[in-house]
Amino acid sequence: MSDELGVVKILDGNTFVVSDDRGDVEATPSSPTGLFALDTRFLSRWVLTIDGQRLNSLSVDDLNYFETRFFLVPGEAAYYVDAKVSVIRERSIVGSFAETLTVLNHAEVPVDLEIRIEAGSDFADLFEIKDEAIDKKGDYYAEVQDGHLRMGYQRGTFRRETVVSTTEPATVEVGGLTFTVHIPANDKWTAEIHVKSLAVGPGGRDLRMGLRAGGARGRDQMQRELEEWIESAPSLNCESEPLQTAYRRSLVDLAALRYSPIALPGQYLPAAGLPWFMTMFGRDSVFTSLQTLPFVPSLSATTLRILAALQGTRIDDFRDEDPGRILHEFRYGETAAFEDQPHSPYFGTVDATPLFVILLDEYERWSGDTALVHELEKETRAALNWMYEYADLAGNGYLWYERRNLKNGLENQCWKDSWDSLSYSDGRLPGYPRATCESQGYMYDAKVRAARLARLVWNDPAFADRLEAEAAALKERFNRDFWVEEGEYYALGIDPDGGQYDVLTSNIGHLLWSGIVDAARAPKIAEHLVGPRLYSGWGVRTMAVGEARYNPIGYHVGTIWPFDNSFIAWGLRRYGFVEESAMVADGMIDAAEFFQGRLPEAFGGYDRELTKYPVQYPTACSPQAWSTGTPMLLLRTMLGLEPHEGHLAVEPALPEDMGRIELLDIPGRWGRVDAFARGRIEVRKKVFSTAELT
Amino acid sequence: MAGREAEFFDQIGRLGHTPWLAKIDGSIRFDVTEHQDIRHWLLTIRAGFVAVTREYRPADTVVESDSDTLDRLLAGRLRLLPAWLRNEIAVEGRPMLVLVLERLVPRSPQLDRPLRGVAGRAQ
Repeated sequence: MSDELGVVKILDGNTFVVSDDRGDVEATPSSPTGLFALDTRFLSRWVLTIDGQRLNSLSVDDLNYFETRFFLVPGEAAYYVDAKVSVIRERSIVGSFAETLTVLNHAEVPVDLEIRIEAGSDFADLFEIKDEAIDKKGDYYAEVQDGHLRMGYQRGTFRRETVVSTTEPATVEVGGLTFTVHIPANDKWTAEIHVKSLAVGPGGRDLRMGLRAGGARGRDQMQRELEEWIESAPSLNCESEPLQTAYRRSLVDLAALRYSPIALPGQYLPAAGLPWFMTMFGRDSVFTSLQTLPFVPSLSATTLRILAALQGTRIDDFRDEDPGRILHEFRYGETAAFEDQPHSPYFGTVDATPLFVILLDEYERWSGDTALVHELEKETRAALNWMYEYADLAGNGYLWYERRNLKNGLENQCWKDSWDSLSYSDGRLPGYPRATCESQGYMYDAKVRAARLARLVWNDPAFADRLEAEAAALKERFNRDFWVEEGEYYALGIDPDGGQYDVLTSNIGHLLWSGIVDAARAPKIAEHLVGPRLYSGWGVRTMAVGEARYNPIGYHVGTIWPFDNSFIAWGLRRYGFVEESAMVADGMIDAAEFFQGRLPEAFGGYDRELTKYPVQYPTACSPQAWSTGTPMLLLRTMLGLEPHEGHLAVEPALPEDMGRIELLDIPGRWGRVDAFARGRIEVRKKVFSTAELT
Repeated sequence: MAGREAEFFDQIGRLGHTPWLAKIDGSIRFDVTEHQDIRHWLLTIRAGFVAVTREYRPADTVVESDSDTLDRLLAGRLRLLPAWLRNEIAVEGRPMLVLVLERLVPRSPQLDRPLRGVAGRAQ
């Protein structure tokens, strides 16, 4: 995978390489390049030279997410037009990292070359790279043994090693490998180089070895799996080129983002994003599973199983863990191992727990898999119990959060998790604990859905009645306490004493998705969402223009998040706002075209009229799972796909420019069915410029 | 042998029918080293019951640990995953079974104290 910054990434699960467009890695403490596995950098230097010269890139050929090919020539840009030698550097990650170097001699005479790969590792933990502070407490070592270069890092019983070897004769020393080669006229030389990243366990074996079922997969198997993945998803035929491209891109990127937890070998859930977030996140994995359920339902089952298996069991302040809570983030690096960071796993999220319950119900509605609902009954009850017993910090029936890990726990445990994402309209930041509106919506929805499961699968109508009564009371209370009379919208959050964070934000769209909005108030909410303060022409801004902290390139205070918009579109449809929903979907698919179908994590909240194209937010993560899932949820929303009494209901509300759409072989309890639609909704493209507001 | 270890396995063996274990089927063997000695505990989980014996037999999951580490784990002072990442305990076989251990470990009173109520909710 490559992007416009000249960064090339390939991956297999949480093993990945990030390099420049020559394939070289020259990491600095702050740059996220290198070979990574288990949240640890196993190569921080990997530089190819020929006769002491660096190479230049002619082209990069992205074969698929786990292999890429670089075409290179030695020397400075000005000279290589007449290169007598060129290099094909082909690399893959199939469990471990391998590179095949082919050097071609184009001359009529033989050449003698010194081909060198410099190799080094700082064994930095991803958190050290993020914080730009690599402060190692252990010791490094390096040695050459049986022609292998072994680089290591040891801290007590913790050991990580990188082992470099090659198939061709080479001078191997600490610092790199040198090949002295003679290539006849018009001939070539080839060498394979293997790099193993080891978490050294008992007897020198990898810690993970004993836990793997079936052994390592080969390249052909990975290729086959990728093809099967694409073939088994519904196929889309449509007249809209941007939608077609976005769908295809999403399917391939989602394959790349699949991650098999060590505890569930051979099963996949979506990791959150490349390169920083190739791990399990409660919230991201659930949202992505929800978005992609009609297309690739297997991700949802794995997400539910692993999150249930790792559910909180006790009160642990360092991890912000309570019994029944669903995890936030899981990491395998040195900082997690030595508990410098709490991610083993960390539980500081307020919404993953209700979202887990929501996903279980949605999954059953699509799949009819009541066996999994039975299997996870205890965990689901524990999740619901967490909301009463541990998360009602103010004792008034809402879902609150406040970190107990004051050193490195998260201050904001909702999806808008940056430090300044929550504020009053005058810009002041609220105190603690905090209760955000969308979390109350998720809790409401979780109770309603759990009641359905209790009645249908667990045979516990009394519990169902209780949940429904609680949900109804919550809805009533919420509509009283969160409603901002003056602006006629829901507050972003409230204080324990009832004070409102009276800013207008995109969070109100999630409330529609949850169903907690009073029907009489819904038209006003829809009006805000596609009104000039929130809607830019491309999408709904995280925060409305005019709020004190509004900034069109502020991470959660003005940018537009594709994932956010996909749930807003779903919410608008739920309440019957067909045109508004189509408008949000249409703007986002238009935006996707500017990113070659790969929607970024977020882009600027500038008016469409002003910039003419969506301005990407500078972020290191691409692809990002819930942005990857966005075109799929938008497709579901536009086609109006809803499981209904064992069959799939299709009720399209398609923007006119989408033309005709066919989505074939949609999997579910009905087997496979097709959906057809023609664009009939006229979408208002031009919105007011915000300049008109001031 | 540390007192906690024998007490823990003894308690597990006397749990009786435990509904949440009903969906788990498998065996976990603990190989516990102390000085030059090695002790074995075999937990067989079936139909909601756990049988505990001292047999050395093949198991679905094998946990290797020294006595002191296991003691800290059972006291709730050491968590399984960081200990595994640090190579202080070794696990082989079906990893999902090991996660069951996290739930079997008795919650120590220090760790399971009441939450701080912010606005006076009694716990």
